Amino acid sequence: MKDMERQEFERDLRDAFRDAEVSPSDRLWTNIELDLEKAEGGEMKKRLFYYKLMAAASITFAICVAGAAVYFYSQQTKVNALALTGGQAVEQVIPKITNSDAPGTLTNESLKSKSVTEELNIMAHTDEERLTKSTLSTENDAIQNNSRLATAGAHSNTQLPDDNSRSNKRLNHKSSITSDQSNIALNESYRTEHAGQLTSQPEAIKFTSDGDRVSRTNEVNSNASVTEKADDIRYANNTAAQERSDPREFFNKKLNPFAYTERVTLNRHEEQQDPVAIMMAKLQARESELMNAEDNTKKKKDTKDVTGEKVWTALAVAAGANTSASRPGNTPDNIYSLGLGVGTKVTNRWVVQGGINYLTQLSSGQASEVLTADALSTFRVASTTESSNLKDNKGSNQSQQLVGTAKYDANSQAQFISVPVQAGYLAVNRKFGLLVNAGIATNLFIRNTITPESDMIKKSSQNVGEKESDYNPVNFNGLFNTEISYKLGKRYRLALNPGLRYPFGSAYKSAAKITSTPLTMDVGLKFRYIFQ
Amino acid sequence: MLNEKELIEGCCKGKRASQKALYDHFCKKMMVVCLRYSKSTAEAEDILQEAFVKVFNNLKDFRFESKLETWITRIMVNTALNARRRKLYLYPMVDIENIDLPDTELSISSIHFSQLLEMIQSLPQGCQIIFNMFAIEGFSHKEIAEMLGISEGTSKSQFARAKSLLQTKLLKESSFYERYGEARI
Repeated sequence: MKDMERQEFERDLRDAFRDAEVSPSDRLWTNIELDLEKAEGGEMKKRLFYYKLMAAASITFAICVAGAAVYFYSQQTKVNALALTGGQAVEQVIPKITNSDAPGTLTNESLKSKSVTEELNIMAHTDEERLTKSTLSTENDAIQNNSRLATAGAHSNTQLPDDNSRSNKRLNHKSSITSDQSNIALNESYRTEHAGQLTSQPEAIKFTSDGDRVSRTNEVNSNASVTEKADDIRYANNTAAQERSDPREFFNKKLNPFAYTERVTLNRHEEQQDPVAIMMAKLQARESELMNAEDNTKKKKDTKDVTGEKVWTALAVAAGANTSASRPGNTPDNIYSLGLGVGTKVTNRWVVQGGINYLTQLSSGQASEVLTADALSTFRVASTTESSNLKDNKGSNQSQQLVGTAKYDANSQAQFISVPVQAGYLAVNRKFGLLVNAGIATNLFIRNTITPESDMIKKSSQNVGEKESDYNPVNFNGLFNTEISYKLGKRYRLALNPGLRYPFGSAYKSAAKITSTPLTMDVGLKFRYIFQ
Repeated sequence: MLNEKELIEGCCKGKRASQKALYDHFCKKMMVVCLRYSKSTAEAEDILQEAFVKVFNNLKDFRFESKLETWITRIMVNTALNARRRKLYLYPMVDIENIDLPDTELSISSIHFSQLLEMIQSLPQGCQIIFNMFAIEGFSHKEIAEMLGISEGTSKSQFARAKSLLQTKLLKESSFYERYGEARI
């Protein structure tokens, strides 16, 4: 009977409201229209943000690819420069060679009327690549020459200009090897047309070897001192027998700097050979030496500190999010940090960095209980540990009472001081830089504030050391990140700093009954000031 | 007047005229729903506004599996609950053990809905929502408990309290009628 009455009551109630209508105010539709337009605008903003994000990601990716390409291209160029063998084309220009006092005396006894003693003193500084001095002496005359030397292969033509004065020498050496037919195009010897003046022309050497082509251009500017007594000097193309018999080997020797990097010292046996060929061999040896020196210099520049950065300080901001919620039912935490750092190179490639960051971790979740101390008149949100302690009757303040409520939203803000220490490897160390870091961060908990989304419940804070705090005073995180940087001027570097952070243990106390070790991904921006 | 399907299609395409037509068609009924869950007309209009924006933004997800009115009413109720939850409308809802209910159910068939609405709005905040959800929307106590994050017992006791308070008010109104007739209504 009672149930029937109850059902009748509820039916009457529904019937009473079934066709009930109340007109809302006229301005309501206008407000709805405005909200709809705002929402549509928001949708557009979201799209714009998405496109901006895509654009930023694309630019970052493009910078990375371009940087990597530049790096590998420069590496490849270096390798090519070294690889004269193996069918790779090489063009090299050695700007200056200066002869200086160095061992090397050459006497050509094949000339009947004249014996030529050539003293080649080749001493080049690696940085200037200078052939300082070349002295030619004949048995009759001592001449100071301006000479231009051009070299050939098996046959060589040399004209030594003689203007009876010490002057600059220029040696142009162009050779190209084109076939294995041992086809050698040689320029004919130039005779001395005018007494006391010899002019040399560049010579071309063509040599084909199994279809490979090696071309190289050497330009040698030299200050040479040639002392000759004779007015008219002619070098016959009287090359050494073994060189004539196998010109390919001869040129291979000449053009392969790796196989012949040692300084050529002529002995008595070599005096039997063609002086020009020997001189060429010596020049070739010297050239390879210079090339090696140049290469070493480049290598040093690469590995040395081309950017001139040794110690720096950095201002960094970062924002990130956890991959999982720190508490059950919570949304992923957002993490923001602001910090100062210092860094130094311990070797050319290895870097050590440290610093101090203020780190704040924001999360939101739902709560279903409040704390009250004065007979339900005021309410305060409780931390998980506080709530747990009260339930277990372990709380310090037993006058407080925990009251269940409907679920409500609450936001938590935990603050930390983080001290990261990282070691990094400079994969690219130029204007564009790429640094890979790994290290440890020590996080020191400061305070946690829980703010409910309600005017009727007060927020609560738990400081470090308080029993009600959910967080351990200290926790450790593993860090892994990269810095993609660009140098601005001499003293600044701007870096994009994406990274990962993983806690070694839960940041929460065991009393909080929360175990959470979420992986955090963040992206930072670093502005670095370089001390020089 | 366009039919319901055409209205929905127009709204999905963002046609303002269709949206206005849909609003005009349902706003009065939905205003009553919002009034039942709120304490004032201004608060009800806020809920109505927010809920209609949700309706227009989510209309593309309507599957025609129920009546459009039922779907919109559900959105109104959910929006009202969320609005209340934000203000901790239901705080603190504890079980009430001793409730004095009248021996007989009072009849409300003769009472105008505006009078009933006034009575419902005067109920304590937690009771008001549970009373609406159980007695008018037809949710079970289990569903209410899940939706509000409370226990089933709390829902039952809050409903009982609401009903008790309402019947007390009705009793007062009846005495009033008996004394002064129905002129007031």
